[in-house]
Amino acid sequence: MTVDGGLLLLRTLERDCRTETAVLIDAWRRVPDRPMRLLVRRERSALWLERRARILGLEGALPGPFHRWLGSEVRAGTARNLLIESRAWEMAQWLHRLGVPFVFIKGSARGLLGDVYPGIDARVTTDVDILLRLPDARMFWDEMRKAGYEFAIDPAHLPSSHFHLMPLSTKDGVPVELHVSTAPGLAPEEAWRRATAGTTVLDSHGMRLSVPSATELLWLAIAHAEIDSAGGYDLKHFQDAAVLVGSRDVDWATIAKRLDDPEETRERARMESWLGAAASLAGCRLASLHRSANSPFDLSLALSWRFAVCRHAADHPRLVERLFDEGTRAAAGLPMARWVEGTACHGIAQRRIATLLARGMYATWRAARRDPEHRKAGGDL
Amino acid sequence: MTTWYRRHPDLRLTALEGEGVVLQLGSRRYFTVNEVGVDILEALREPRTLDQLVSEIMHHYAVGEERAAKSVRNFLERCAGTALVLAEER
Repeated sequence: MTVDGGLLLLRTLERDCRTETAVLIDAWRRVPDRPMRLLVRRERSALWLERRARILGLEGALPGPFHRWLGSEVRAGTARNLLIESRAWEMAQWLHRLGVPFVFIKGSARGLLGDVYPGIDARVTTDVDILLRLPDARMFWDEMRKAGYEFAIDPAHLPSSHFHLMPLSTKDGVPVELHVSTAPGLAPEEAWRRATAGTTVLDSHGMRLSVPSATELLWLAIAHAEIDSAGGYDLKHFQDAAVLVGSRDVDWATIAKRLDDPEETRERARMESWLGAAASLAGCRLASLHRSANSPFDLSLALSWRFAVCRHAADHPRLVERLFDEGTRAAAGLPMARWVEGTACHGIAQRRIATLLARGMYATWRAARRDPEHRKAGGDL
Repeated sequence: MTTWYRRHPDLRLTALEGEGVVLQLGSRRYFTVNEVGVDILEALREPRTLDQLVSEIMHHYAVGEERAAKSVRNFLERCAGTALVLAEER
């Protein structure tokens, strides 16, 4: 029977990996190469996987072509992170010169925190994220425009509800997002207060840089997962949260209070389930937060589905995206995907049919997994 | 006249397991270097002569002068074509 690459990836990444090394080694030797590459790339987990493989002593067990591919992904991702860090540092210098207070958030914060929270920097960053007070953000955005920075995206594509100004792009195409808040509906003043309370101050190339506390970074991950809908269930988001959940620096009373507050969390049950999955990845339990009967989101099921998609639909990228999206939505209890505003009627109909088909395929796959014969033949990995 | 070497100011470097990734910001090209290359590029944050680099590698890896000199020369020759390292006669 073919190795379940989704489950194998998850078992390898889990911080308290309980699968015997020999079992992992055997599975890595047998897992199909191409779908595994597609899954790792799609989940953006190459850097993390390479680190975990090293920690678990699996490097030598990875098949040669996959090991070489992983190495090249890691080098390319590392080079990308160097570029982003370099541009973030230039922004920091500029803001220091202007005397404007700021904090790095999201990927820019993670890149600085690798020594504080091991593993948090093990993923590729795509842009520079800075939180500023609203007037400072507007002033600095104008300064950037005067200095020749261009719009990084089509202005029509920036949702009006988003909480950063129009992203601008450096001369080499690195997007810079100036955030004025960290979650929808969160007033900029409150976002700034939270982000600057109990900051971690780090020295980078002789400059003192601030990043939000572990509690605020975790909350940022939760808030983003909520607004990202199915995208919030990508492995990379769980990775960020798992590192923080596994640390001792999170103020759980604050997290619980915000989960309880409908102004902060519109989908408490869903986010609690999401957080439970991050905790299981971190190898810990969040008993204090689980007052309802919400079981953690089943990451192993989600990744098994995604791997199955990668095996059977690798040559059809749009189909892969549709199946990933609908399968995740079904597993997370999210409604089916809606069409994009402005889509023509025939486009809506096509999309609706594709969505229904994707849901049907997921339901069929899910039913087959419940079949006792499948279980008997499948085992764990 | 002595040749002084220093790394290009647009170079960014990070060490991985047993190797390093070097990014040339201007061209956005990246290279992989071995552990010795990482040490040489770290040392070249400040200008160094060939003798100084050889001495540092001998000290760090506890190898003989001949072997250290060969490693450093090979590395500098390879860097010459990529503008990772700049040379200046003083």
